[in-house]
Amino acid sequence: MSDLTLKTLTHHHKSDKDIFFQIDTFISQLKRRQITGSNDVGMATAHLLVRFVSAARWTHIDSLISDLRLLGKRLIAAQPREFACGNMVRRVLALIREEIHGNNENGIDNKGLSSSSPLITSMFNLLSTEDKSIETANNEKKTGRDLKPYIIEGIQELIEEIRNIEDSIAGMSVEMIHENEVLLTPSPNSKTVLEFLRRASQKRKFSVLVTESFPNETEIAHAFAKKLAKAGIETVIIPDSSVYAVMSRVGKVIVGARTVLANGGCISASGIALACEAAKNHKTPVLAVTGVYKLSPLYPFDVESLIEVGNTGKVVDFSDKDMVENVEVMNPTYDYVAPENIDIYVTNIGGYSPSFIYRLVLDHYSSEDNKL
Amino acid sequence: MLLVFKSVIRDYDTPSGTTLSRNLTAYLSHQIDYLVTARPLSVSMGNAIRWLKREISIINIDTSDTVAKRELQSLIDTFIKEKIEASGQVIVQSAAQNINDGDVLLTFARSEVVKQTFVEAHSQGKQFRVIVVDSRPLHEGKKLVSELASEGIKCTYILINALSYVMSDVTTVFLGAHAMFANGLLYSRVGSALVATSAKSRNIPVLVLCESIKFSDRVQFDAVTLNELSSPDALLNISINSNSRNDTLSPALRDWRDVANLNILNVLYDLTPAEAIKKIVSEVGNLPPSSVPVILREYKSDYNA
Repeated sequence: MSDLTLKTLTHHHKSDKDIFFQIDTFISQLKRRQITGSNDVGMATAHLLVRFVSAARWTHIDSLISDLRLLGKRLIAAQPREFACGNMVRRVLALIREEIHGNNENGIDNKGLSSSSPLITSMFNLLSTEDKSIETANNEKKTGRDLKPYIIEGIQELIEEIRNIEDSIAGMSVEMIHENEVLLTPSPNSKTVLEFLRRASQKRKFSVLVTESFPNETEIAHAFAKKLAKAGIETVIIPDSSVYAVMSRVGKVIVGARTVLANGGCISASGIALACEAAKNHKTPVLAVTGVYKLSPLYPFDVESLIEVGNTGKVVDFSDKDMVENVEVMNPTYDYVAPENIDIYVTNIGGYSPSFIYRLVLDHYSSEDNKL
Repeated sequence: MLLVFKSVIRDYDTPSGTTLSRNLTAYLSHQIDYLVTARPLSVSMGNAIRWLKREISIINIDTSDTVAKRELQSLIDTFIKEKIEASGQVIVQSAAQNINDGDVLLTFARSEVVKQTFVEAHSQGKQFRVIVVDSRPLHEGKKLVSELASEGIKCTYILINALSYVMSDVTTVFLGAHAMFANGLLYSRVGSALVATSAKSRNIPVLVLCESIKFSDRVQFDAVTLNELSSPDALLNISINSNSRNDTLSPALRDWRDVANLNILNVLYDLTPAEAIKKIVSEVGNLPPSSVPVILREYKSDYNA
């Protein structure tokens, strides 16, 4: 499969062997988990896409689109649960389609509506087969070669967006946190949460409860708590089990997300779903802080397929013979948080309720790319 | 504790100029104070002490010391048998009826009655699977899961963070109790409330197995107001084994006491809301949480009679 893909791609990239080397390196890095976390993966994918597009030579913009789709497919296959690569590819595809669309519209405007391809707006449009050929014919007129700088510029903007994500989200923190509030965060692995809290601490005085997220991120959690304390925030480390016990004192729960799904739910580190549920039981608001690049157009029809199950050696010592032999041990690394357990998504483009996420998805992706 | 009191009573001599029924209570109070310095009294201990004091106080002044002491010792024996051992067995028998073939049961941390219930149902030939949920830093569930597995019961062991991943398979949740409060709330190992409310939101029944000696007339709303604190240093060890043999200290927390603003909170218990509890299985029958004060009242009138 991957050979076939490569061959198809080579067709359009005869002169540039270098880019394939980079793609393969990235894919193996993904597979070996040398690059993980949506931020790093998103960034790396975006950089790869810049190189890919600049190396690409196309006679027709459709071939670039199909190349990109193939690339996206390969990246997703390499690590199906790193949603950021798929998201980035889709963003770029949407960008290209928008450019084409814009161009076409201009074309039509120039020619007036008397051109050979009338705007069909009736229901027949959905069923007719010749419609596609009209569109392709239209595209053929614009080979899209002149689009290259626009596309690359678009991807550069994406990279800039990811780079500044913490900044733009953290800017909203002061509006969200009030003086002397007690916050709880079950996602100590999130850079965005850290920045959010740090920024808020410049203007507000509050305390933060940090859960340990045992066993996968305990060390990170401890280090996270220390960073907060060093930033002058009153910080308390609590075991994951005491989330409910302290929830009655908590003003807001702040979580990070790995991926935000189109239904408004999200995939996060394990333990977060439980904390959000406890928060819901106490009617405590839950803020999910996330960059728009983490939005995924997927729906969680099969939650289990989205969750990764990790190393059970972190739960039970492999030297514990009786346990290893007789007991089934599980260690899921992610959690699915249902949309009803999240109150607001704080993103770099503003705050949104989970029920509005599908709209943002429509804004940022083109629906024909949902399945690459 | 009661066994200790028994030997205290055996070794006790009434000082001259006073009577056993007046003086022994005061004498015991010192021992109790000493116990409290070690750990706060549990509800069941408090209840037992209250019962013992009452028994002492109603001893006839004319009874000779030897007779009274013998009587008290045998009373303590029956109390242990009735309230702790027999009630446990009654609960086990009655709770095991709630287990059916093909069930997936879930329990949190480790409770002796819960364990015996599973073992009993297993010995009755019922086919079921148990998910044991555990948490840091005590890892009590690990002991339970190895005990169950050695009985031949199919077990799954997870940590509390993985709870929402397995919850959808579960048919019934069994919880042990540290105490039941008069307003129907369950006071139990920290994390129980998470398990119970999470089950409740998925319409999975939650059973609490609790001897009536653990019923308390205390009322409380949340776990923060009154709780037992455990050592913060227990959280420094990030190894999965709670025994100190292979401790791994968290690198970030080595010097946590020197970092201003950094604290560690390690409470032992939490409160489960009454709504999350389907029923309480006790030796006096299956009750809804709202019946806890009823039982308490019945017992009080028992004592007063």
